[in-house]
Amino acid sequence: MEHDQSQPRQPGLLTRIRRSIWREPWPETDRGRMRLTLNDLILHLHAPRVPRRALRVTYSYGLGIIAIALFLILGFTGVLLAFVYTPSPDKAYASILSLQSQVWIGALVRNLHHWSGNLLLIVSVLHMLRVFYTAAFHPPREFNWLLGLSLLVLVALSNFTGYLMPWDQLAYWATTISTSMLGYIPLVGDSIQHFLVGGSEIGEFALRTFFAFHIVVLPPLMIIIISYHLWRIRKDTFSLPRGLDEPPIDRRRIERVTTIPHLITLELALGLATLALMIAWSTWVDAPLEDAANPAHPPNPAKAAWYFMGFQELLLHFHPVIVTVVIPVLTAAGLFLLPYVDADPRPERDVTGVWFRSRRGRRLAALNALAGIGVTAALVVLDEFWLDLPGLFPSLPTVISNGAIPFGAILWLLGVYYWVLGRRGATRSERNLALFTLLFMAFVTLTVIGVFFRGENMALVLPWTT
Amino acid sequence: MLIAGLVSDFPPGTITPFEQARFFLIRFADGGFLALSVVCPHLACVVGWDGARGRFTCPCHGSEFERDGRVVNPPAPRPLDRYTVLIENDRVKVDTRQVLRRTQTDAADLVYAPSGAADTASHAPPVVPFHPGQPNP
Repeated sequence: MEHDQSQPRQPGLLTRIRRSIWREPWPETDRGRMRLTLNDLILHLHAPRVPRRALRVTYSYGLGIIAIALFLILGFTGVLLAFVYTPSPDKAYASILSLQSQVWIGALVRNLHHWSGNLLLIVSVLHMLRVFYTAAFHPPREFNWLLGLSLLVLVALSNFTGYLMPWDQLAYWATTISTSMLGYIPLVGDSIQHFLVGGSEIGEFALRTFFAFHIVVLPPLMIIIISYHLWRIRKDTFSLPRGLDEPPIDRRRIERVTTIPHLITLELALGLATLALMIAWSTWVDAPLEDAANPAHPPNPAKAAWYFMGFQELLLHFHPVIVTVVIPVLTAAGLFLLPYVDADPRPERDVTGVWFRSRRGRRLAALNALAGIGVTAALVVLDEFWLDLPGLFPSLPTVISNGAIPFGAILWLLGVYYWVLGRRGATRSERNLALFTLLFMAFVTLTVIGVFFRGENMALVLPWTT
Repeated sequence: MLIAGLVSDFPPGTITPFEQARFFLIRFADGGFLALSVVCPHLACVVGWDGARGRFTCPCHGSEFERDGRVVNPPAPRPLDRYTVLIENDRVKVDTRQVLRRTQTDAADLVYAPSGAADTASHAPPVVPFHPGQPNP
């Protein structure tokens, strides 16, 4: 037989496999790099080119990138944990103990998962603060602010459902308290509670429900919203950092660089740094584990995870309906509506990219941060030692005397303050910034009081005396 | 229906914890019985008896209750829930099937033994006096 010369020469098998995945060779030109960004499934969440200014690390602090790195660490360690964890009240605690003592690097994996979850919550909040204080949520980025808020809620829920998993004292009492809180929601509260708990007491059913939420419901939801959140940055364009007296930036005249390698390198560097830091930290610091759950005896004081101590502190002062329904609804409504009411539509009044909006904004931020700390601490001490509203109005139901009256008074004072700021010439955006700062620092102060200044029976104590 | 013991097992002025059944059996100085749930009506933590201060206290949100269940320190929005106490043939019985919510404490919630009841002690859970000087473990 004669060799068939007409058949074209095929490249080797490995080359063919590689080309079946990536159609083109690694690009050597900017044009090729942009084409690669556009054509790759994950890379195309980015624009092919980004403004050089947007990559300034003192503007974004890379918080979004760090959050995604932590999310990936959580996903990977979470999958490993799922292989050894048993979601049942009589086996969960033992499975954590054996994970820590019997399984190779089991403790490290649990530490990584625990600390990454905690840090993700902190980083998500810092990311929100950065976006708020640089007005990066102003049009056209309103909707991405909402996506970000949804992610923050999902991160908080993931942390919450996660810390129930070990079925230790913290887990048991936190589940008991939180599901009882649902009972105060009007009309639907009891049905939601029944759906989650399945009976009058926390047990097998509740743990399985929370486990399902933690590993099956929340992570895919977050993956979808994160992808959308990233893609929206491309569609809405990066907000650009701007100096205090700098005029609005003409986007047609700014320098742009290709996403590969400029942005991608930054992302990989920050991601790897995050991973390295988390491994180092988790090698030395063990994730906490309390005694096994004991339904007869809560620990004294029984404290929630640190990030819920602000909430728990509020529960000491107000009727549960205020804390479980009114405050969350008002907070969510305020934050979700914020991007639609904050910005001044006149182009010359655009403050996007300016830290704290203006000189007055900077002054207001500093003053309100201090006021938020001082006033909150004073109110907590006042309520603890002198104020007894249910005693003052014994004939009224406690939802009025310990709820509507004190909370209404606080809302009224905040309204007056907001009005006074306007009279003194602050723009709406500056007034919102003042109020946001005041309330955020109030919540931080409540958290610090709850974590450090509450002792036996949740009485106020000085941390250095115990 | 849980048989707590004989009337004479619970001297006036004592509080007896029933850990498994999750209630306190209180006998007041005047001889009246009251069974209070250990579950805090605020957010379902378990309250303990603080003998030094003569109050039930909640370790989760600091609610405090009088020995009749009345709220002396919020955030609890209502008094401690109670169970029905029955006294039959000198036996103190507590109906733990049905927890009774209430918005106000009421002297009528107390149950008294019929006069002339026998006063013979028997095997019963340990009783805790009102003021032992130590919080209940």
